Amino acid sequence: MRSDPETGIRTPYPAPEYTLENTPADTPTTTEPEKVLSVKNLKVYFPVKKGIFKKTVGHVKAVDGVSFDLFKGRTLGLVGESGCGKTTVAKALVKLVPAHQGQVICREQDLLTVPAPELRKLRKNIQMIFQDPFSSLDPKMTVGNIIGEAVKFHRPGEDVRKLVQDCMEITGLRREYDKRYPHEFSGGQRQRIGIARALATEPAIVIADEPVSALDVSVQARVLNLMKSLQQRLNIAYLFITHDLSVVKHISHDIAVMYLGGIVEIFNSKDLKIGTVHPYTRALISSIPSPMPGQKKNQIELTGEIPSPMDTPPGCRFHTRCPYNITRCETHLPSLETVKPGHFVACHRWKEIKFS
Amino acid sequence: MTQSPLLEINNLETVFFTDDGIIKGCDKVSLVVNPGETLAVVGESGSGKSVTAMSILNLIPDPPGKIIGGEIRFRGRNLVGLGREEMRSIRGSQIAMIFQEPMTSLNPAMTVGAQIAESVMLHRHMNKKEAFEKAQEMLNLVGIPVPAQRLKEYPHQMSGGMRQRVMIAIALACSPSLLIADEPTSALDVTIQSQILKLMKKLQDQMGMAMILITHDMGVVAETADKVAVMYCGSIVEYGTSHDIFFNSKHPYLKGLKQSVLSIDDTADELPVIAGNIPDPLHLPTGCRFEPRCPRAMDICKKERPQPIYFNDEHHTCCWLYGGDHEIRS
Repeated sequence: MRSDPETGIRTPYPAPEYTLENTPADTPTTTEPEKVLSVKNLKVYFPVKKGIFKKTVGHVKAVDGVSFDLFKGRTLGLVGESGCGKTTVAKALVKLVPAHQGQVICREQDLLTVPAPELRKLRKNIQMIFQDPFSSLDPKMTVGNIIGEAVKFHRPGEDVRKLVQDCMEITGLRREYDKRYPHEFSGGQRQRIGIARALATEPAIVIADEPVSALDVSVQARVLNLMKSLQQRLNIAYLFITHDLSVVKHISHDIAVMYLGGIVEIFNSKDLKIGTVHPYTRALISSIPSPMPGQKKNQIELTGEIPSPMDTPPGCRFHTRCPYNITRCETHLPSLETVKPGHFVACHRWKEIKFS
Repeated sequence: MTQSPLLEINNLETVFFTDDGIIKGCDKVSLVVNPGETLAVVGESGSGKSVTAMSILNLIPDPPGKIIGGEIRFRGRNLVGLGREEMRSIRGSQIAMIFQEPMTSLNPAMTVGAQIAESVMLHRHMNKKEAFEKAQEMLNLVGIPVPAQRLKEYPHQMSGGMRQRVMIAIALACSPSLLIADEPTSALDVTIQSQILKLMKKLQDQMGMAMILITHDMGVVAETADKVAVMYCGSIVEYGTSHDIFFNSKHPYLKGLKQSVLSIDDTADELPVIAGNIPDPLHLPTGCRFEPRCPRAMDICKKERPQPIYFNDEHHTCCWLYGGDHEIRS
């Protein structure tokens, strides 16, 4: 077994000597987590074209100045309502959509500007798990080929079949199933295939875009347990994108809340219940239905809907729906301020507002 | 209970004839909905909750589906085997339905106003002018700003939350006495979900209608339901008031399901899960359907299907763990 000096990932995968149910919890958690990806002021604008000359008449500001870091072995949860730009962030990181401005630093190189041959090498480090386990797998390919496709390219000269089967085994699929086709699997199993495909190139970073949203609760719990135990064993950094706060609480170390293309608050997931200070975060938390009947809570009622990203409101993006809005919010965009180490908020009034 | 039920389903059996064999979508489902009450039907995908709802309105595609047994009594009248025309007079006017996908269940080629007016013109025999006035009133009721202008818009000009409000407006335009909502908020964001749930509750109180809410989200159930039916593989495994289901649950499946629901209060590192998968609907276990996954399975569970066991007037479960000292009714 050899070890990659840069990532510390062991290659090839050790044969699993334990089942998924009793994965050991002795994670080597270092006190100073290593930064594996750094996103700085990322902007993704989509031009809006009109007329016969396709003149650009405006821009949809899908992502407008987003910065965050990913650390080895840790999960950053990215939450927000639909249309807030969370998926666009993920796509921009892997260059599925072109970024307008900003930097994505991975191994001291900017992914957005490196030449294509260099980028191809770096791509091995970043893999993606998609939302829909039904449409993200090619129905005409066997599971073995789906998982092995990237391996053939990124790790030439290795025993692809064995690698694929090892990947299947650690995600809880049977080795013999590599000759089967996606339609022969259930939703939860297909999501496992998606996870196995992402892990096959031994990435340092996995971007998971709503990986459990399409699954039933009982299956969802199992996929989350799997992702957690794989992270502990392989020391992967996850960027976990979801709209479901209870899911994100469970899997993440840190949580970033997005609204209309910008991050409004970043905090440790332990603070989710009581420690958050942005009115939008509080409103999101209070709108989750409580899992037991009869629990009364102080609900912050949000009126209206998320404004169109083509026509973002001036000042704080949230001010049109914010119950604490003052004149300053309508003119000045708040920047991220430090509440305490690891906790940042973009709100003019976070010090004054008292949530009961 | 002195009140006569609005809807009473007895031993409903809906099956699908496929090339590989017969699939039982609904297997002897019985339930009761009283006027003004909300019944939540919960279960995972494939458990038969939507099939039950579709059976009530006779919307099961035939072929391959067919209701082969049981009865559905709405105000005492059996809906099974009713002719097309008769069914049409009930559908939309007395029993209305809201579908899951607000994106695909509206007609993209018709204005929103025309879609609402269509049902009132058909069922309430209004002329076009009156119908559009009614449509405007309905849009106002469901909280759409500037209804007079929105009336002339097409579905693609609206957001998901707006479209779901339009769906509700269409469903409620004829003041039905029973509303069937199939996952009405599953495609929506949490902040919009809580707005829609509040709106539905408010309108239900105003109009005094009963509701069957089909969902997989235990949180939504906890917030809205009076009674809960839990389905697994085509049959109801536990039925009771929302209090019974949340604080006094009996069936191992329901207990497992409740445990695997994530909550922001959770601190556990590893989530408890239900082992195994939902069985293949073509090869269901001969005994209790949950037996292969059940942590407390016994010998008898493999051989015979459990009958409902009652803990009080309504709360019952189908599980062999509770034989003996409880009353057994067939």
